[in-house]
Amino acid sequence: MENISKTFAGDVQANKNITLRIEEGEVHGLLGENGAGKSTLMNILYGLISKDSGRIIIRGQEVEFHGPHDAISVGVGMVHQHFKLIPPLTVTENVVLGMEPIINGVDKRKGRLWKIVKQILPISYRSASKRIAAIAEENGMAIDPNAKIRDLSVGLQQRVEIIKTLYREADILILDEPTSVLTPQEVDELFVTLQKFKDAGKTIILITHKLREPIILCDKISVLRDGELVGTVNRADTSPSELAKMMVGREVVFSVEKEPAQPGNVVLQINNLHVRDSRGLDVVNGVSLNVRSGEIYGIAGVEGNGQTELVEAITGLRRATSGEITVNGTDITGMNPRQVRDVGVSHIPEDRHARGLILSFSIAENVVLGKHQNPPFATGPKNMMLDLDRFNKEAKNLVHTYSIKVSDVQVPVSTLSGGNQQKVVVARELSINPDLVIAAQPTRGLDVGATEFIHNTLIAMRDKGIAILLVSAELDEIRNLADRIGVIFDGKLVAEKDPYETSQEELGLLMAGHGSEDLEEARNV
Amino acid sequence: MTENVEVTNIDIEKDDDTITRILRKLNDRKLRKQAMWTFGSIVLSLFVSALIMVISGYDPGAAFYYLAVGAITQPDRILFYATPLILTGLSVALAFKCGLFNIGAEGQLYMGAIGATIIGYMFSLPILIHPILALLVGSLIGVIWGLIPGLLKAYRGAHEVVTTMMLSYTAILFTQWLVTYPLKEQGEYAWISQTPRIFDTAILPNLYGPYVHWGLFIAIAAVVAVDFLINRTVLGYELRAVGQNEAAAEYGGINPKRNMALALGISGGLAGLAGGEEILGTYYRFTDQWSPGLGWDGITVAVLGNNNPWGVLAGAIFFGALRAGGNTMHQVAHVPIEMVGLIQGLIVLFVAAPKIIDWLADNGQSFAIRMKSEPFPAIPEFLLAAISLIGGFLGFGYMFVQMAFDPILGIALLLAGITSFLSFAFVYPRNENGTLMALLASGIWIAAGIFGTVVAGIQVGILGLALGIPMVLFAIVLLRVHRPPFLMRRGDA
Amino acid sequence: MMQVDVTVLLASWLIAATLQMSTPLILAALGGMFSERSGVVNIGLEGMMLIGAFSAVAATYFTGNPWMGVLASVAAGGLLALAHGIICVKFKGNHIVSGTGVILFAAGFTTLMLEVVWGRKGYSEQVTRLPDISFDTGNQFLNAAFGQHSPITYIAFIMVIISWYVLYRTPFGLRVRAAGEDPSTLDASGASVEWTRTIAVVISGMLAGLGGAYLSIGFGSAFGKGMTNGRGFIALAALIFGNWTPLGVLLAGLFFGFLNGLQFAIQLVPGLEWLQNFTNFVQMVPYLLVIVALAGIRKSVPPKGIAIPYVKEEKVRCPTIE
Repeated sequence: MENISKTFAGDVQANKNITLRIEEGEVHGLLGENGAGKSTLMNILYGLISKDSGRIIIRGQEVEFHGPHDAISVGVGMVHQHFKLIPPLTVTENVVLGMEPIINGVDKRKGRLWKIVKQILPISYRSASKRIAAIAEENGMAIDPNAKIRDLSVGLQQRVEIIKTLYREADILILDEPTSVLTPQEVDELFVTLQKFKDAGKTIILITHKLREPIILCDKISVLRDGELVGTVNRADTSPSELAKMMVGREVVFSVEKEPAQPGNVVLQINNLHVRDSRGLDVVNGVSLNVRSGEIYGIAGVEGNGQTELVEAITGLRRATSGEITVNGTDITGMNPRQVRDVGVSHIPEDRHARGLILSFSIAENVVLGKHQNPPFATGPKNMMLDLDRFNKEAKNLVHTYSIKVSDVQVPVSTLSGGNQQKVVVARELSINPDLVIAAQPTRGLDVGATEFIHNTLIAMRDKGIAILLVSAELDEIRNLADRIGVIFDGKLVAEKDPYETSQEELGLLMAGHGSEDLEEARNV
Repeated sequence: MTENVEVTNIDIEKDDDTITRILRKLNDRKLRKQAMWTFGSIVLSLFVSALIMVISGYDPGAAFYYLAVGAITQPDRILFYATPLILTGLSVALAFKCGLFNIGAEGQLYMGAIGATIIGYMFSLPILIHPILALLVGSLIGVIWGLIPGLLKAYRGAHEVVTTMMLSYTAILFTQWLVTYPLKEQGEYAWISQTPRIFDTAILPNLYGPYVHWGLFIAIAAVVAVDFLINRTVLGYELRAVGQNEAAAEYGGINPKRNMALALGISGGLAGLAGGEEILGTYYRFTDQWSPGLGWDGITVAVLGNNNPWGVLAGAIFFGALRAGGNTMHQVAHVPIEMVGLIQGLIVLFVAAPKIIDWLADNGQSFAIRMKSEPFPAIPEFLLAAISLIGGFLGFGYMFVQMAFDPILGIALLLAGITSFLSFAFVYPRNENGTLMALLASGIWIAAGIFGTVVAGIQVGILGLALGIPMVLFAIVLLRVHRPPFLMRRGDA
Repeated sequence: MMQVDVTVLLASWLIAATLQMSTPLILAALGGMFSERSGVVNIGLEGMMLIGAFSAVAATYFTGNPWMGVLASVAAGGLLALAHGIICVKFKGNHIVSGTGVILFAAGFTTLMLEVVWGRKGYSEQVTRLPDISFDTGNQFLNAAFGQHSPITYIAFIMVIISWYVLYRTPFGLRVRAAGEDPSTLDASGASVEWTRTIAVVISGMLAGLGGAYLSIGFGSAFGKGMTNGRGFIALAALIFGNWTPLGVLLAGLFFGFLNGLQFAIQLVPGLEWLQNFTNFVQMVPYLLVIVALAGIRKSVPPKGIAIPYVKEEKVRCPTIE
């Protein structure tokens, strides 16, 4: 792949001039943090996303992919992070989808008419099942071809995804975060399988953010950061700590000026909290922590380790299965979002488009969301009516205080830039004089200026004696802002560190599920 | 007024006056785009219906002329027809503001109507109280009929499109039973399924002329009330928040379930009010199947009015005008009144997919630009697209006429129509296979023309050749400019 | 002795009526199944049936051959469905609004054409009916029940089998199911979501049109204004109640057809005349059953991707949303 660039709508450059060389038969690791552009790059290679510029060359031939179909035909197969499987269908049906085998002989007929006729001839499920069973056996991946996907465990579902690529005779295999959903045993099995593929001469590209995997498996490792290629290294020539450094960037400079924290009383107290996600899996497994007034407690961790559900449980958006949450001594477990707000908790949600803002609403309408039902914004008998002038006044005030760049407070927030949108959220959440602020990924997708502004605002709130729980996937942000850092992995707080006494690598390893002893080990290699 | 982008300092003290606000609203790009969509849909549907008229042997010029004349000269009839549509349109629009599709307004209307009728003829009450009570009861029953699907949606997840539709038919059957058996008027007209006439005390008096009654006042008051509810009350704010972004509303402490149930309840109430108002003001009794689809038309009106209360008012008046003008069109130009229903259906189809208008506009724009910069391939291409489109409609149309004389010719015309449409669909967005499709279509037209001259007379021949020959010419001209890949490969080999 | 004969006669008559009444429902519901399994809501079945019913009579009237009528109904239903499909799939329009438009258009168009072709309102001229297939089984009961039915009735039942085969045994069916459950997966497998959905919608219109033809030239012999009379919606109810499967559609269609036949049967049974007054409630049963089914008393699972227009690049989570 040469000079691949991709810009998404809204001028987000996900890939900037990336050139990758991957040799036949090698296992190539693609390492990077969330949002570094790994998946985008590989989706381009699989034909799912179109590229803006650059060339893809496979075995000396330049190829142009109009869709996954073209990629499949030259032998590229991809195992997606979120499986492309249809739960109510059987294993066989999922595997053959798009490449259905037809009863004897017809398969070989070519031509447009036959392509259409084939669509209504019976699929030869028997031969398909046989082939699937054969592929499975060959690679030591036992599976029942007639089982329905929804009855299979996640590990088995991944097997189906891999079998799907093998069924299409792929010899370039892309695996997107294959271990993120597996248990340790399943990971070991997967590695054995991948080793077999490697021995069979297949090319494997492994996308991951965990350090351990490329070290075990890969011949070469390329590191991406912010859509750019940082470098490609041989496994033999590198160490986990070097990779961690490449992945997270420079040694952190403390760019935010702040006074030492003056922690006061405990504001937020969480005891042994358990939360299930919408699929019914336990994703928060016994988290206990406390946040004091006047301090920022940072939760570091790779996304998908239970942070979202933890925040939702605190703010009343999701019911905890067990455990207790108190704010200033009031038990808020099981309260609804409005009640939680009323005890003085404000929440900067992780996805401002999904939760934080109503995009078609005006700025004035957005800045009152959550307090619209209370005076002075609601007036009249039983506070049933809205005082629109108050809306505007409040909006203008906040626009002024937080220097949000807008032409008018009546325009829909969708017309604002991301930074200004986030400022609207922050302004709204901090204007209610909270005791506790839950800030989830508060600077995601923002430019340097807006990020700095929000960081300074959070520090200022802290200095005013407000307790802040900061959840972020960006290590720099956590290290810059937090007075205490809790590292979350697999729904558990695995360590609590002082930002001044820990290193980037140590946190990186903890986030990837390694103990501190692994760091020593890695250093000794 | 020019747009000031990115002004940091807003005068905190200054409040905008109403006029500036309205001006800004009118200048809003989104609103303009919406207006373009609506207007475009109306124009497109009039165009298509004109072609259908040509095919059916009517004169679209005369039809549209008398449609307009009829509408302009009878403003009272427009308002008469518009009155119930305003209310049912508001009903659909309000639910839609909360992200819900109430397609069962028809049933809520029937329930409201029967409620108002029962109060109207069973109870003897003083003059002012009687209609008010009847309307209240009517809308209350409508509320209940709307609340059922609302609650089912909120707490059981039953999709409101299906439940409102099914309840609608249930309501129609239930009221039919009521007026056929227990509430049926006995005596002279016993063969009609209808209730006795309501008391005079319950009648909504006429406001102006023989048509417009106080129902209009109620409807306009409802527009104001719904506008106020949506924009000025906490409930309206919450409804809109749930409709626009349920997750954000929940995050903001709003209970989405409660609001969904309420929205459908109020929506049902408005439809019920429409039913009551029609009985008290227009029909004076409940006859089985009395409504000419007012609930369905409410969907059209709401969609056309972009679910905005004042837009609904405008949409209802537009359809009222179509009805009023339609009568004149029927009487003078002898075009069947059903034409109005057809136009209405076409408008909804086009409004359903604003992207059609965008697609036409975008491609048209690119044609306009290219006609200036490189007129040679652009102009024949555009003409080819235009002829193809017209050919498509004519092919379909004459198929109906010619089927009577000769089915083979009919099928040939049908094929010509289909290929012409395909030709348009390929040529207009400048697909590489467009010219080939145009050649195919022109071939079929010419063949149909020649065959038609033999079996059906010279007119068909003229039609076929008039369409086919220019298409061939343009297509050949274009083939020399950009060769389709199909021909290129042959040339290379 | 007399009593037994009446009962037997009534039972056989009820079976025949059930088959007749359920034919259009089964056909339209099967059509709706293809559309909805592929992820496109089709509340326009009513309109497609109506235009099918009209076209069948018109083509029969012009050609004198009712089989041409059948062909015309299939073509007309398919064309109207194609418009719905293009609006919903290519132009990403709102499925419900478009479906409403289809219903209104069909109602307007057929009544207009009724006047254009025959110059009268309400009813068309009588045309040749599709000849029934009749045979003698030698048994009075069987003869009355099964001996004489329209070929379309047979087609409907064959269609159930064919639909089952297409949906569960062919590549096209597999793709339809995939498009309805998770279009992004279908896309990633290399097949076209847009084509799959559009074709499925066209098939739905063809089947609904055939259902309409049964009403006008299979069961009756003329077209009447609004003659489908809400059957498209009952078909939708049958589809939901049948849980979007061919067998379910067959059973639900038969059951709703049976209810329909029952209200006529009531009038024939001595001693049950008083029940006549309550036939409206029998007619309500399909509608109410669907509401009950959707409210979760009986589990009802629509395809996951239904009513969601599939937009290509959206499926890839943007790493940073800006």
